[in-house]
Amino acid sequence: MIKDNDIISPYQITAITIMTLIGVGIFSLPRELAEAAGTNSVIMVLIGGILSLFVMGILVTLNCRFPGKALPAYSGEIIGKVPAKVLTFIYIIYFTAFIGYEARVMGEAVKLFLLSNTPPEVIILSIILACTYAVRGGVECIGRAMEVFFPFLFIPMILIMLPGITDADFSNLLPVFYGLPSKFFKALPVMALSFSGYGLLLFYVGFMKKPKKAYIYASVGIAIVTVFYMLIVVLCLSMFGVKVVEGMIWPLLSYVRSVNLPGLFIERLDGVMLGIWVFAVYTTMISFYFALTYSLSCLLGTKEQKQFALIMVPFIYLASVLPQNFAQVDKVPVYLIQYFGSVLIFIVPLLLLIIAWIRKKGGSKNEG
Amino acid sequence: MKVKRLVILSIIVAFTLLLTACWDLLEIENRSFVLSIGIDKADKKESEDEGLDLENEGSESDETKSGGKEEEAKSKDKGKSDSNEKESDEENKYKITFVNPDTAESEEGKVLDFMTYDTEAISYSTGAIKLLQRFSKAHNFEHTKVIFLGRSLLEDGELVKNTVDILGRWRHLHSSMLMYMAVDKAGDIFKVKPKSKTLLSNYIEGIAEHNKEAARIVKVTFKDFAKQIITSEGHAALPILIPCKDEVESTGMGIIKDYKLIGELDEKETIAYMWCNGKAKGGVIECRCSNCAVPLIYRYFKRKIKLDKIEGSTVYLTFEMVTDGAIEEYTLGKKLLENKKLKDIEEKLEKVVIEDSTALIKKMQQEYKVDLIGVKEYLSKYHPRLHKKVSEDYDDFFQNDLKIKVEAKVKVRRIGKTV
Repeated sequence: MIKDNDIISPYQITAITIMTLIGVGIFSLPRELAEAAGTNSVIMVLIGGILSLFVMGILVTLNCRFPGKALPAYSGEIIGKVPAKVLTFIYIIYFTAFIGYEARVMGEAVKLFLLSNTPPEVIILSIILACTYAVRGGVECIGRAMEVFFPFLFIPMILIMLPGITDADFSNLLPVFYGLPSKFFKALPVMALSFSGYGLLLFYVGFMKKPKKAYIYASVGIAIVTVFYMLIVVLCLSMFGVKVVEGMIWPLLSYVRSVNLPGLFIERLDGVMLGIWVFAVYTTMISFYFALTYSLSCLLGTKEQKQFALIMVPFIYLASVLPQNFAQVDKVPVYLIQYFGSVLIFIVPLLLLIIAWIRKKGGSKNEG
Repeated sequence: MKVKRLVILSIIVAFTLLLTACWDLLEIENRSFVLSIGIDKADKKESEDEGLDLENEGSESDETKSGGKEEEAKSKDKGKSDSNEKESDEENKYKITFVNPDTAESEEGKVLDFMTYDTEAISYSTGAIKLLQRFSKAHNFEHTKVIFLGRSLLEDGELVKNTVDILGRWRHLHSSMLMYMAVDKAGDIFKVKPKSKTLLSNYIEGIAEHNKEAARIVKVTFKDFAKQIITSEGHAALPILIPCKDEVESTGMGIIKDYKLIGELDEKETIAYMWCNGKAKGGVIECRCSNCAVPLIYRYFKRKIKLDKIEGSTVYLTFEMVTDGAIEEYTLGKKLLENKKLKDIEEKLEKVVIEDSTALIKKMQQEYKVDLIGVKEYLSKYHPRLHKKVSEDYDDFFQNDLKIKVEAKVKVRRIGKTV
């Protein structure tokens, strides 16, 4: 019975894609882009989104060859059992570090703006523990959580950001296309970083009844995220200009902080924004967390993944407190995602697909 | 039974422990909302002894670690930055004035009086903490409305850089605070007791809101100021506030070049500054017409820059100003309801706009030698290649190779309710 329950609907795949992609990065995204691409940032987001669609296509194609299975299960078929276990273990390390990083950045922001007297350890631990609760519910629980959170996160977030348009000077987005080729390769890693979350499709598509539907539904998710990122970048750049955004740690938060709503019952919206953002981080974390526990259960050959949720808490916590200061925290994504993660998300699936194709593994009757 | 009791007991204990939220809460009467902040450069002779000990401790331990050589280097660096001041590291840099509402004097929720607290310190954070030595409440900056920078502070480039950084970095501050340059000392402004019986910060905020009706009133928030000074790497303009006995007046602007105050604009130049930067929202343009003044009240003003031509190294720009409005003042016995007359008046008004703007542009190019008229911004946005070329020696380009022509289109649309 439980097995039959582990199914996610196509709409949930859209929600999972969106909520996994939008994580801690949205606060710092405008700065990273402004540093790398200057006024071409908006174009770069668009290019990043389109490229992501292609990579997502590769991931889903790989999954479609093995319907009803996720990466740790079918990688064994493709490259053999032992190499697959090693690969799964690498993914486990990556996921642990990633969840730790997300928790840490959230802890830093909450400590700085909301709970200045609470020890950061308490903030980090409580969010990790809150995640274990969702993860123990299994994949269906994750899918539903995303489905429920999605409107609650998106609608208020956009409503909060829109009033700032009155203050925006859209000429700050100019010149567009000037010097784009030279900045393209500098900005591409930043985009890889902000879109890296869809790598989890390798795990979630396996739980779909009709994995082929993921092509459309995950694309919709990526398109929504691309538009959302563009909105953030446009608003921040037009409000502050490239040079000021470069100097802000969290431009989006500064943007919301400077949106002034005179006469409204709340004058400052940054607290609300941070509250919503914690949800965004939470959903990203549970999405990765489930992939982590699921990989562990495959690695150790257990039927359930529940029991690993609590066991991983100390490891995630350790990963989150490893950076000594914020400068180190800020560099984490560069090493973790740009180098390590990119290989796992872009290169490994492509190699797997090629090997599967050469060795004629997987049910590929209809595929060319 | 025993188990049940134990469960109930543990639930009660868990509830009391886990659901007691807000253990670090701060009641609103224990908060003190800082309404405005004045920042001055500290006087050299005055120095408080308390609190300074802290600084001494810090620097002593530094010396023991690094030895004498570094200390020498430090003092040399110091000598370079401010040539005629041989001050030691311990000297206070800032005099910070915090203004809090006097809630004790409040009547029916209306607070009219305020208290000011001064402190001198080497850094802003130390100042805020030193203030706690004689202040019983917790500061809250969520509702800080105005920040004043003293003249002496603005004349010191390093301090301006520090201050802009502090105001942007400090997490308690938001960026929609109004910024003003005090005509002398920022602290002097707080001595004003407004005769309109409102809190000073609300009073000043109200004045700033009039910028929609008068271009001579400049409203600059910290966000605008930081944007200008960071983007242009050191150039900005700040409105000046002059304190009188029971009122304040917002008039003119201070010109900051390379993070230093170098001059001031008078009222006429301030209006031209707003025109040239396309920031004017409304105001009045006045011309004379057969012995009586004819003012045009406008609520719309648009500036557009156009690149005419490039000849060798010389760049020709045109500033196009477009505005329209109503004339509601003339003299008896004469009619305004004639197209020809209105055209005449329009021409005269255009001449005023062109003359005033040209005078300001000339002053910026020749006297202050600083681009505060938006040329660099325009070039970087619309002509990035040209901008890259001229930004190698932008100052030289701005002073010598830039020819600016001003064109104006003024339309008198309405003439009030008489003919």
